[in-house]
Amino acid sequence: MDFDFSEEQELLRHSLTRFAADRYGLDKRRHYLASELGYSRDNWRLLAELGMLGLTIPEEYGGMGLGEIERYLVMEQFGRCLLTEPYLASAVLAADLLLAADSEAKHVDNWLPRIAAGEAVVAAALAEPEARYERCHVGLRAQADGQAFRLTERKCAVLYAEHADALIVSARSSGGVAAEDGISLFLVPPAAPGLSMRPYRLADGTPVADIIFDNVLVGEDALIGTPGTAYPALSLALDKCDLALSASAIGAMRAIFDATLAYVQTRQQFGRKIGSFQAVQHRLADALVRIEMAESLALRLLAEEPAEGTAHRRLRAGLRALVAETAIEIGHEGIQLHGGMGMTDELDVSHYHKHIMVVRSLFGDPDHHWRRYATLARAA
Amino acid sequence: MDMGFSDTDKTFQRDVQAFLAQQLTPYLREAMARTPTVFVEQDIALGWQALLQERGWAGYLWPESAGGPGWTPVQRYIFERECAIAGAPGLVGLGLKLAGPVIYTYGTAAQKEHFLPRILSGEHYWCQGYSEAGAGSDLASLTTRAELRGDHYVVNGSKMWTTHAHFANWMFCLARTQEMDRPQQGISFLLIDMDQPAVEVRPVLTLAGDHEVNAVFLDDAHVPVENRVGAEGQGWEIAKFLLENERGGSCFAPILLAQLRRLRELAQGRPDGLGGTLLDQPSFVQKLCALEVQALALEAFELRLLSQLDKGIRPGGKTSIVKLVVADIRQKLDLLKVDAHAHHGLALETHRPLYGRDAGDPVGSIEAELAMPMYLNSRARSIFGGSTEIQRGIIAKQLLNL
Repeated sequence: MDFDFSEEQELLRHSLTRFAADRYGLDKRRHYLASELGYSRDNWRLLAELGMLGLTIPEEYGGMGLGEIERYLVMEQFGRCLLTEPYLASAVLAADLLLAADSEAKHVDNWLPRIAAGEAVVAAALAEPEARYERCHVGLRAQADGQAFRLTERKCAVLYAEHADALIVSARSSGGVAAEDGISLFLVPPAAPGLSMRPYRLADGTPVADIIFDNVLVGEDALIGTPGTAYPALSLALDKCDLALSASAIGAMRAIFDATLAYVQTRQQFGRKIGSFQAVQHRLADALVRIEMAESLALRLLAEEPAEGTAHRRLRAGLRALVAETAIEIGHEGIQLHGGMGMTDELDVSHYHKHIMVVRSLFGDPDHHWRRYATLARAA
Repeated sequence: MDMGFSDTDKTFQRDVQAFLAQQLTPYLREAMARTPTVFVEQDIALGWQALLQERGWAGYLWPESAGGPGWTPVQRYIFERECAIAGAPGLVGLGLKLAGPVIYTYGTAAQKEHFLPRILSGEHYWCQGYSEAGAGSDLASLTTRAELRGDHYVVNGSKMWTTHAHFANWMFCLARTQEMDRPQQGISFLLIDMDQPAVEVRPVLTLAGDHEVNAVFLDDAHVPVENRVGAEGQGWEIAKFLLENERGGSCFAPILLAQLRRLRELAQGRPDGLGGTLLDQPSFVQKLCALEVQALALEAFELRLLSQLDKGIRPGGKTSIVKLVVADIRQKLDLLKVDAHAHHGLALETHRPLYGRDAGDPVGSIEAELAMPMYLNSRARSIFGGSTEIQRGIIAKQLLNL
């Protein structure tokens, strides 16, 4: 039994702390966000050089072939520095979708090496306004037209869509709107005729877009895997994405907690440090307990073998829900204990909290994951 | 990153499982399952302890030099875990977990030789003279006094919330031997023979009708000076050592998880009145799921502390985290059990024990009958052994440097 990270894993963490120290900080981050792209191309190149973009991509596609433990470490550090680059969108979600769904290996040879090298950003267009967070709810239709398909309807909050080099789009080729069968994935060029975007930003500055597909014609070669069978791959990729989001939330909540702890040890009121007041101490003690529990559950998931089956998937849903709930509570405590300063744009606490608000509900809010947990628990 | 036990530890685990399958009687198991208090009755505890001692396991926390099996932290955890899963009675830890370790850590050769074998055999049954009516959370404000007269102390004062004092023949006791500037100074750790007229035990019944705790009055109690553990005035240091043993480093999550599994089974069989089961009631399910996930997190936290302990890193203030979370989960779980039984959950049977020949026919079911007493009793979990507020204070001070 051992819950420590290996030496290599610690080195990985260390290289990312250096990256964050060099390339991040509130002012630098503001600058990246203010650009048209919404992130820094230099950082992106640097992350590719560090091997981060191909971290979990198999070596045969130019990646490092590492697993979810390493990804957890990386995402936790990115949560701590509030990374602006499309790591989660491209190197996590899109790469995992391609790996899981491309059963006929039509796209992996082309796209995975480019994702790993930072030469391409691939965005996944999965969410829809009518779906809430249901993975199997896919209303965007793919109508067969000879050997080709016509895509019609909408996607929403597609991460980094505007400047992406390719979009992975989930579409319904058969079955009812919320059926697991009948979902297909397509690789679509963002410039395809009939495709229009409305870009906007999420609360933490993440660039996203709503996309309207108006009879977008794609060839059969755009299919990822066989038609109508994408749900298991989709769900697997989102399970993994959930763990990455939890890691980012844990990094962000640790950062808020550290900042808050430092603040109450310096801020003086009534002639003494506010950290000397019991009302403040007990809030922070409770916050630490919650963080320790959330982090322990994450380590449990990482250490669990085999990493499959109903019980494991249930644990993933439980972790996602617990971390999301913990993160927002820690964020609220951080703002509260910083008082008026916690409300300002000037301190990083508010920026962390906005990130927590986004990762808390991206691809599923706590209620959604609690329901999934409950369903899986009954199935066990 | 590896959550599994080593092969050696797995072999050990199978030994413990085999022992439990062979030795744990249905009666002991039933008594444990039907005990609403934290501690089982003396006869049950000692009955189980005797079976363990035959195998040399009663002092499972103790080093070999003290008469224990000298297990590693991982082995101790496995032992506790398997006992909990099998439904073995909790060992009353006053002697085995508290007095014993104090004596083999701070005691003289004579004290070790005299007391340790008698703790293991069950001949000595201990109670803890710590809290007083005026010294609860503020333990250091205790006023029980011990005055040295030649070769013995004369002890006067009273102790409160003394668990199992009505069974005990020995008490380890904090008493003030000297007035000093700081209340923590001048306290000594004494071992008091309860079998003397100067010691009076009065029951304190708790809200579910249980007699678990007592008030103990010491009126010129006689304590030979050789029954002081450690130096005069070293009592507070020893008390803190003991409290750390009391609060953690052990195994709570497996039993919580087992109880949650049982509650889920129960809920699956309980009608919701609308043609479904309790698992169709969203707010019930929500609470159940949240507790399950918290208990899984707690188990991982316990294992993390264990793997640190295995490397020689003591948990220190982190045991307060365990104490807080255990109390929180347990209290919510026990309330949820009351809710699961609907109207039958509201009954309060005050006859004790709830097992054996004298136990009456339960209203509803035995689990329904146990729900209210357990719920009421578990309110104590955020009060005893340092209240939740005290634990938060410890976390703030020791882990956050506030």
